[in-house]
Amino acid sequence: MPVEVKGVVEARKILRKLAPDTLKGYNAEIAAPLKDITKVARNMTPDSITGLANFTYPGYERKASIEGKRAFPSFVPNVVRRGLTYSLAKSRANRTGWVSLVSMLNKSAAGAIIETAGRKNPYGSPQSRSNNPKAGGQFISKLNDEIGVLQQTGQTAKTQGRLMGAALVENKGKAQTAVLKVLERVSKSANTEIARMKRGN
Amino acid sequence: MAINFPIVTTFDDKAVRKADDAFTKLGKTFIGVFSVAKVVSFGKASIKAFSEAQKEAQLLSTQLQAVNLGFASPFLNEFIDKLALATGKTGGDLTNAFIALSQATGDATTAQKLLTTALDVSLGTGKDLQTVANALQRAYKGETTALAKLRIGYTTAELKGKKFDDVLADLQKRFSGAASDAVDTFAGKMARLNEAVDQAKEKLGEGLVKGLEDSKVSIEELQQKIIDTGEALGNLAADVVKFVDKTIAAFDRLANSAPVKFLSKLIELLGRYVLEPVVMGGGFGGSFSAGDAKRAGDARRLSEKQNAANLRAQNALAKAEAKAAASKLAATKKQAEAEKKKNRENAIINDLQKRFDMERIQIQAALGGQINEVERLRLELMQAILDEDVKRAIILEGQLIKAEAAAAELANLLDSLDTMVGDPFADWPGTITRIQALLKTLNIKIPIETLFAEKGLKLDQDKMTVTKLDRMDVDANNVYINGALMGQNQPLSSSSTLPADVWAAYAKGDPATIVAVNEHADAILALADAELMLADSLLAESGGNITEIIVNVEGSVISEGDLAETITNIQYEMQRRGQNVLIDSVAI
Repeated sequence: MPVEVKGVVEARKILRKLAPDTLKGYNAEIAAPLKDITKVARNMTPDSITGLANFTYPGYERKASIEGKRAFPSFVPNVVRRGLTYSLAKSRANRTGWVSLVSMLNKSAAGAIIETAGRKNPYGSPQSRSNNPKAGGQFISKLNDEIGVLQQTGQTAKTQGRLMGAALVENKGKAQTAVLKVLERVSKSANTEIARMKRGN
Repeated sequence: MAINFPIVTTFDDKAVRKADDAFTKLGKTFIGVFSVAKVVSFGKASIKAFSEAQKEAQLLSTQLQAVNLGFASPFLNEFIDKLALATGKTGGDLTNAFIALSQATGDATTAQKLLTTALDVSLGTGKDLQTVANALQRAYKGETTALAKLRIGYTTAELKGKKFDDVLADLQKRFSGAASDAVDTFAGKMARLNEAVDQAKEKLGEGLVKGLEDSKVSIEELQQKIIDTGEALGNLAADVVKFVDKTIAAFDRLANSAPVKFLSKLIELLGRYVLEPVVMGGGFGGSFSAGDAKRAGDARRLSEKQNAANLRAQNALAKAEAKAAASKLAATKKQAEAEKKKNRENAIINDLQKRFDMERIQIQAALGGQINEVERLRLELMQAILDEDVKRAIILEGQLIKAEAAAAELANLLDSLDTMVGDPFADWPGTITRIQALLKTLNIKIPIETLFAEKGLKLDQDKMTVTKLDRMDVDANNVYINGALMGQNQPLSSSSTLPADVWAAYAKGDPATIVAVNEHADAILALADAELMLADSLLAESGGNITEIIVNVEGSVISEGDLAETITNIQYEMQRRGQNVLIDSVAI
């Protein structure tokens, strides 16, 4: 579950202007626990998924059945692993005004599918109009078998995940605590820098 | 889209702060609008605006009276007010422009039209209305320089060559709708609203002044009253805040209090009698009750519906127009195609008719005969005239003139031969060469010796000498008609009478063949005699009604040879003179 902090954005801005090297050091400190989570998530990514012929990489780029649309992505392990990463950049505010300052990301399309499949309908969409209405359920079931079931980090289904979500659950909030500690120091450093500036040093 | 698991978040209150600021500003604006100072200021401004409007009206009236249009002053004032509302131009600008135009035209209707055009041009080009109006005023009087200086696409030279009505029509065509386009923009709408507010000020000022006059209260007293009212309103606003904080019941009491009623009444009157008719026929009248808000909302929705309906109607009209234009274009194309086809068919028929035109047939036949150059040219010229080929006719006429000149020269030369004979210094070689050249040019195939012989001269072409002919024997069988050798001396074409093998046997002296040929010749002669007898009998039957050709001959004619010689001589003479030898347009 994300933790709200105040003044970090301003503190970072101040440090970026007044003590960029200090900020770099802090960023490296924040990144360390995040890298651990990333590593765990990448390790969870299998080399292959059996039984999902249309999801595994056929050796070429699939073509979309509808012109102008993107083809259903193929699972390429390295691409998925590369997409499992973190970000210290301030995101754009959502509709309610919340901004994430430190986030774990699953960037690749295939990775996003693995991460989220089954969040809304754990057994596939009941309204499926496919020739094989059970395909969704079978796909989710196969992912659950091959990679693992969805793990929930927060209170809503939107916080569920198979790779990054599972890694975060496994981390048990250790990284978050470490990051917060560093951010606290960031704020303090910013205040020190402001005081120093006021003094004219 | 990346899947994001936020670990640390923060709340960005930028949007909230923005909203707060907006509400704060709105509150300030509201307070500003209804503050004491603003009310007083509005009252003063209204009176000032009324005063200026009165001045404008007075000016217009005076100027119109100067051009004998004083009677139209009230109507024109109304026209200008409406135009100002429609275009967003101030009443003062329009009045000045109208005065300038009416002075030039001396006619209110024309001035109104010119003012509308000036407005279109002004809003279409961004030029000052007064400048455009002045330019039009001068152009109306014939001075087009000012109009050219507007740089709206006319040069002085162009304008000098045009009538004012044409220029006006062109301007109306080019800038038609520019004003409506301009007022449709945001700036245009704002200008129109400003003008509405200005007019509202004028009306309010007018009402205030009138009320003041009626009540016989001085302007200072009125000002004090307005200030007092403003203070009351200020106190009232403070009370409103307090009451709202407390209870709705308190607010109701406040609403029923005398000052609030007065304020409501004032705003209602302002809305009903001033803003409502001026701005858009409703939507702002009355107090700010819930019912009024509902009515305003209904009116707005109705207006939106009307706009949508108008837009739909416009679209439908545009589509119908486009369809009509397309069908018209198709019909025009079809008509053009049909006309083209008809023309093509007519051309073919004309061509065919030409082939069967008797006159043309005769000319064509004559051209195929043995004719000289002059005759050829004449025939061709006739053909060109029949064909209505002017270009070819002109060329042929030129050639004919040259040929006729050559023929005349030849005739002169031949006439002068008699006199040259006795002249020891006569240039015979030059004359002979010239005659030969002319014969060649005119395509006359009569031997030069014959021509000399006719003059009783003998030509020796080798020595280039000419002597008198002692005696001349003319064989009627050796006749040249238009240069073609006719008569018995014409080379015998064996193939024309007898087959080649028969002729060969006859030439070899084959007795049987000779007998057969002689019998054949006798048979032909017998046939000819029979035909002659038939002709005689027919002639006798008809009573001797035959065409007679009378040939007047000098001297005596005692044989057919003499007659043939005489006719031949006549033909020579005519050819020499360049005259036509045509019977029924057929050359002989």
